[in-house]
Order: sequence, then C-alpha cells, then structure tokens
Amino acid sequence: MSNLLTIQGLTKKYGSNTALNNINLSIAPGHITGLLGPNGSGKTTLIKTICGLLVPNSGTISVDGNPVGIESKKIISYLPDCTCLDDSMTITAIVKTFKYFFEDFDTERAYEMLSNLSIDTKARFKTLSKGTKEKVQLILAMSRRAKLYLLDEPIGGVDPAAREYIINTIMNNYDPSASIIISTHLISDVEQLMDDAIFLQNGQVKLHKPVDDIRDEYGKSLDEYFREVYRC
Amino acid sequence: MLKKLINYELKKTSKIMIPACFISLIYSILCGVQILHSYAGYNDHSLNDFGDYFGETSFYVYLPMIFAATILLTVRYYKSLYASEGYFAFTLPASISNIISSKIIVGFIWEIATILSITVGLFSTIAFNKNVTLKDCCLNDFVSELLIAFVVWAIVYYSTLYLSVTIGRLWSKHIIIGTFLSLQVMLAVLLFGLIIVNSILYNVLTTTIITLIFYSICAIIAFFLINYINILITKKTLNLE
Amino acid sequence: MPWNLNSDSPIFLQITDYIKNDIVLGRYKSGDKLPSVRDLAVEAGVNPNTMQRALSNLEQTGLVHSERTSGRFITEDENIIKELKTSLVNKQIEEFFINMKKLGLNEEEILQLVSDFAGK
Repeated sequence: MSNLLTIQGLTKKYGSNTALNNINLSIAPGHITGLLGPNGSGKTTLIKTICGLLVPNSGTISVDGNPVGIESKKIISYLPDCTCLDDSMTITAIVKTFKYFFEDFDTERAYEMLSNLSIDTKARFKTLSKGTKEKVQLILAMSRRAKLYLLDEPIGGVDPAAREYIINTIMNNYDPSASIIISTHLISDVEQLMDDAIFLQNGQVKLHKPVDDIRDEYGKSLDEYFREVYRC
Repeated sequence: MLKKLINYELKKTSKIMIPACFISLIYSILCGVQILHSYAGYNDHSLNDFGDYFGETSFYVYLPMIFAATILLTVRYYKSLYASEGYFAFTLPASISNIISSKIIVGFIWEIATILSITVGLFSTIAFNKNVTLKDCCLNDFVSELLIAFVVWAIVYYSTLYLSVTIGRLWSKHIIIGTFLSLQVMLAVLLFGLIIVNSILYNVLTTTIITLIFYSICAIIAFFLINYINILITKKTLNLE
Repeated sequence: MPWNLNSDSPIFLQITDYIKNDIVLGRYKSGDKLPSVRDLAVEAGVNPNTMQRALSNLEQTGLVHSERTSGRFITEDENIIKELKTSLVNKQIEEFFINMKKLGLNEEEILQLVSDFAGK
C-alpha cells in the first residue's frame, strides 16, 4: 500500500533559526499519529508546510502522490491552532462557505455535531466563547471527508466533557483509507486514540513508533515516556 | 474555482463598495446639478471651469470617500491573506494565482462600478440640459487630459496597491510603512515610464484619441506585469505565521 | 463506555486479556461471531489499529479464528475454552499465594484461612 504522506529531506529556516532540519517521514493510510514535542520543536511548522502555508527551503512533500498544491489541498483537512475564520459570519454562513469551496464537505454531519454540542448555528462566530470557537473549527475540520487530517491542538481550550465527545467523534469517523495527525500537548487525554507517535526535537524526528511498542519497551504510558524524554 | 473565489470576494466586499457606488452616484448627480445651476447665468458654454469646479468640491467631499473605500479594500486584501484568515485562504483547493487574481479582478470590478456610477450621475444631469452638450464636456483639452490620466490610473489602481501590500509585508516589523514606501516607488516608476513613453512618441501622439488608446495599452501591459510580479512574489515568500 | 484500560502497558495486550475474560465469563460463547474491529474499537475506546492487533493476537492463541468474508468467530473447540478458564483460574491462585506469602503466611496457614472463609 503506498504511503499517504511522504516527506523527504524537509528543511525550513527562519533566518539563522532552523525550524525543520532534514525531516524524513512516511505515514500510511489508516493511522492516527500523534505529533509530539516541546514548544519550538517544529510541530506547527511541519504541519503548516504540509498544508502549503509555508514554503520550505528544501525537501519534498508528497500527499497521496501529489506535491503540495491544489490536489493536495483538496484532500487535506487542516485545523489550525488559532481561529482563522471571518468573525462576522454566522455559523450557518461558515458551513455554507466550506461546502462551497470543499467538495468533500459533509454538511449533514457538521450540523449533527453542532447540535450534539448544543451550538447555536445562528450565532455570529465572534460572539462565541473561546472554547466554543475551537469546537466549531474542529467540527468543520472533521466534517470534511479528507484523506489527511492535520489537527493542531484540537482539544486545547475545550472542556473535559466536550473533549470526550470530540475524541469519540474522531474515533467514530475512522476511515481506513485516511490518516490523522494530531499535534498536542495533552498526551494523556489523546493517548488511546493514537496508534503511532512521532517525537520531534529541534526540528528533527527523534522517534516514530507504534504507541503500544513504546509501552511494551519502556513499560510506561506515552505521557510518562514523553515526560522522561523531554525532561528539563 | 476562480469563479467561486470571485463570487465570494464580491460578496465580502459588497458591504463597503455598494454603498460607495451609491454615494458616488448621488454625489455626481448633485455635482451635475450644481454645475448646471452655476452655469445657468452664463452665456459662455465653455466648460474650462468644469475641471476646476469639480476638482474643488471633490477634494473636500468625494476624495475622502474614495480614499476610505480604497483603504478598506487594501486592508481587506492584507487581512484575508496574511492575517489569521490567510490560513483559510491558502488552504483552499485553489492555486495561488487564482486566489490573488480573484482579489484583483474584484477590485477592478468595483472600480468600474464606481466609475460608471459617477459617469451616469454626471452625464445624466448634464445630458438633459439643452444649454450644455456632451461635446463641450469631452473635447475640452483639460478634460481630455484628465480623462486619459484617469483611465490609465484606473486600470492599474488596485493592482499597484495590492502589489505594495505584497512587498510591504516582507518588512515584517513595519508593514504599513513598507506598503506605503513600495507604493510610492511603484507610482514613481509608472510615472517615469509614462514620461519616457511620451517623450519618445511625442510626434505620434497627436490627437487625444490616439494618446488615450496608446496609454491605455501601456496601462494594460503594466496591469498584467504588476499582477504577475505580485503572484510570483506571493508564491515565493508565503510564510504564514 | 470505554473499557478500563491502562496506558502504562501495551493496550493491545490488555484488550486481549479483556476479551479472554469475556469468553470465560460466557459473554462470548463458542461459535459466536465477534463484532467488527471498528465496533469493538469504538466500544473499547481505542484506535482500530490497536484493536486489530489485539484480535490478531487472539487468533494466534487459537481462541478466535477468522472466516475470510464473514468476520471473526470464537472457536468451536470447547477444550480450548476450558483450558483458558483453567489457566486464568490458576493464574489468580498463583497471584493469591504470592500475595499471601508476602504477608508472611505459609501454605498451611493460607489453606486454613481459605476454608474458614469459605465456611462463612
């Protein structure tokens, strides 16, 4: 089975600072991979580069056989770490906009999730609380029938009850032909969701293993092992 | 996808621009009425003063409005591409050329809409008056020079602004100053270009019509060049934080 | 309701034990069809790949076998199930004895306490 995401020799520098240093990575379809590392390790930079928001200095990225461009963007669903939508729009208008631009957007599913989380679709985005805004953005990202989901801190500002709903949603929408990359600090909450983990440090891949192998080898949970590896 | 982007952009900017066109229309009707009114007592049909008259009132009323609309559209260009909304814009399944082009095309559409509003407003009042003919208005030398300058400027207007933003944002600490400076440089270059063209082809550019057509062609070439450069720079320097 | 799984040790092994328990308890009888990987994963609250690994593991023990298109079934062989029960019971007994000995008791004392307890 050919890989969904193949990265070779990816390097990104900001002046003298090297954010990504010769990254090599492959991810097969049907995996939920945790992208983990301390702040500044390059997680967000890596994700943005795959999305096409940053131009790398060198290296290649291939998403389901496509380089970064229109075809790759069609099959990537990105959840950014910040709010990236026009505040003044109502949620209904935003959903319509997503459907307008993305063919694979599942409107029914979006409304179902919005009602399950009791979010008023007539509200304007800017009137929502921070946590609700994050939930909405996550729902929008998960309503796409994409091949590669890149979720940057999907449950960061969300309350624990909603977190469980979100994690269950991600699990329920599991599609063996798609893959999800979750970049997060809240490892213990999301551990059970992941089957692979990537540890980044100083812009390099330190480790890329199935999570159960890590538990087996080190006799610890992913969260504990992470703390050990990145101890200050 | 380009059509979709244009539609979307039009909807988003219509909140500012439709009122602007409407105000332009009303204002130019009023202007037309006032011109006729002040000329009612004159037997002289010369409209040399038309230029001065329009210029004076524009300065205090109309130009600020156009200025405001321009600023708003330029700010929108920046916000929708390089602020947090840029995350949405550049993850859309569209090429960067299409994304930028849609904004330029929409800017151009609104320009034409505004110009039409003014033209319709002015000439609707003037045309209905028996004492003044359209010929008097258009073939006057000063007006024709103004017209040529206006047409040339209109063709490249938003393109130069948007390219200034693209260049200005490269100076990340002082984006506004950067934009302003690059705009000045660009306008200077364009003006210089026009002067050179004028001095070289001075013998050929005899009548107003020929000059108008010729300068318009130059402006159109400049239009495509400016936008090509804009798209090129955007592609190479896309680094959304 | 996710299963009670611990993040400290490989989850697929814990799942295997959990399902073994279910078999012994009679939740899954011999010849029964197991739910699909996805359904089990959702029930357990784990990644489907992890569940897949657990089920493959179970297949190796002979407790479960898969029919190509119809899914996974519990073995029809009653003996294997009996053996499983026996081994689980023995494991508990072994652990019990180890723990009791840690409390300083010898075998006679343990047996006495057990029959006293059972008598109540």
